[in-house]
Amino acid sequence: MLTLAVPEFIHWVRETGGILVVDESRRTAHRLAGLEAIIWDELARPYPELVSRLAALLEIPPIEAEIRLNAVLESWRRAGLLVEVRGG
Amino acid sequence: MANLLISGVCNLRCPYCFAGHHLAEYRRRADSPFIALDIFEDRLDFLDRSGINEIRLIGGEPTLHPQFPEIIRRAAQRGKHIVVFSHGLMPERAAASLEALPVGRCTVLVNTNAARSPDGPSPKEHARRLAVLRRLGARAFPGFNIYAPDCSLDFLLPLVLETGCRKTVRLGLAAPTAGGDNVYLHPKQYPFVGAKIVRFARQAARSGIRVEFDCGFVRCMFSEADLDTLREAGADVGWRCSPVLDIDVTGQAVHCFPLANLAALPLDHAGTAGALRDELAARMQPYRAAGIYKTCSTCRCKQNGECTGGCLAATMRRFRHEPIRIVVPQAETRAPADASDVIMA
Repeated sequence: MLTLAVPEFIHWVRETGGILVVDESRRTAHRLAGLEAIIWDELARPYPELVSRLAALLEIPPIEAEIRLNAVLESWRRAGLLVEVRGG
Repeated sequence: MANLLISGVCNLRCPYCFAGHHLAEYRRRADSPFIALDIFEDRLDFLDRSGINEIRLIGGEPTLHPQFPEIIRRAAQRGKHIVVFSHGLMPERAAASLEALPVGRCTVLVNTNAARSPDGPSPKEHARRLAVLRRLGARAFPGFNIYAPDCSLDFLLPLVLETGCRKTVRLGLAAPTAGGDNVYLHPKQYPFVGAKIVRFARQAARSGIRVEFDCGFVRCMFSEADLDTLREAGADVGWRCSPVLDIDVTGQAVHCFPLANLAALPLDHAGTAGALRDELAARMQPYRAAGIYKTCSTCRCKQNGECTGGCLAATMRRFRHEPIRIVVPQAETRAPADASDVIMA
């Protein structure tokens, strides 16, 4: 099990064509579009539900949806938009 | 440009006041609500080394400072052009000290919809304000903060013509305060207000009165035809938002009052106003990618720098943070976590 969280210095806003995520700690802004915007928008959902929704939205098998989801989550973790929470 | 707060006190209660929240915080920190004269001298030194020849006095209500005439005298002695942001209901000693200044050395912006009552100025307050504008003549001109779409600007033109003050009217859009609860004009209401402003500017131009915009306006609140009308009326229009640099009595420099909670620095952080402004601007820069509307970030006018996308405080209200957590069952798909970005629950 891996718990990822949106840290307190991350703020976001829905924009036309995507989501703008601001990282106050690094003074950076990230524009999320397409699949990334969809995932960010649905991030509060439980993981299995998120996988199902992605599979339905993208019309792909759940296993492929999960691979894509994990790739995006990993890229966000590397970018600092998500952090790993121990004991969470 | 830098605004110096000299009085944390105001005797009015404007519902749209964007300074009130910060001032309440400030009064809890400060020993006195008024700037001491030796601190004021430090502020004058700060302006000198920043190469700023204009001193802009704000409050609260700056004219309520018990030593206001002495403050004016010292600022004038340093050769500063004096700008006072006042509600206009000033004590006699304050009015006399401003009246004594040469017309070209003093500007008093009188907020004409400041009031004790949330319903707006009483006839008595209006009459007192009229008298001050008449007395200060070309040193003063009226301002109006638009905080509701149904506000009336009609009284402003007779006020200018009757008092003989400077033939200018400054219009502002009431901005929200981060962490505060002031009344403000919602960006959805801007286009409606824009049409009203255009009608007003056209009428004003017929009387030789110029309309100028405060910060926070956006280009798209006006149609192309409206913009032509504003240009023909000689209005001073702009779509700007940048760190004003408001400096309070405790030596805290903030981006502006509406953003005081989010962007503040001690005055000794850097030597000059320019350095402070640059640092405050850098802190808020990521948020500037957005604007007051969700269409701003893809708008051509914002992308080419013509429009900032409105007031940053209004933009900030659109941002959110939620402490979302997601539990990923298949940890083997990820790379090992770096120790540096791991937080404890």
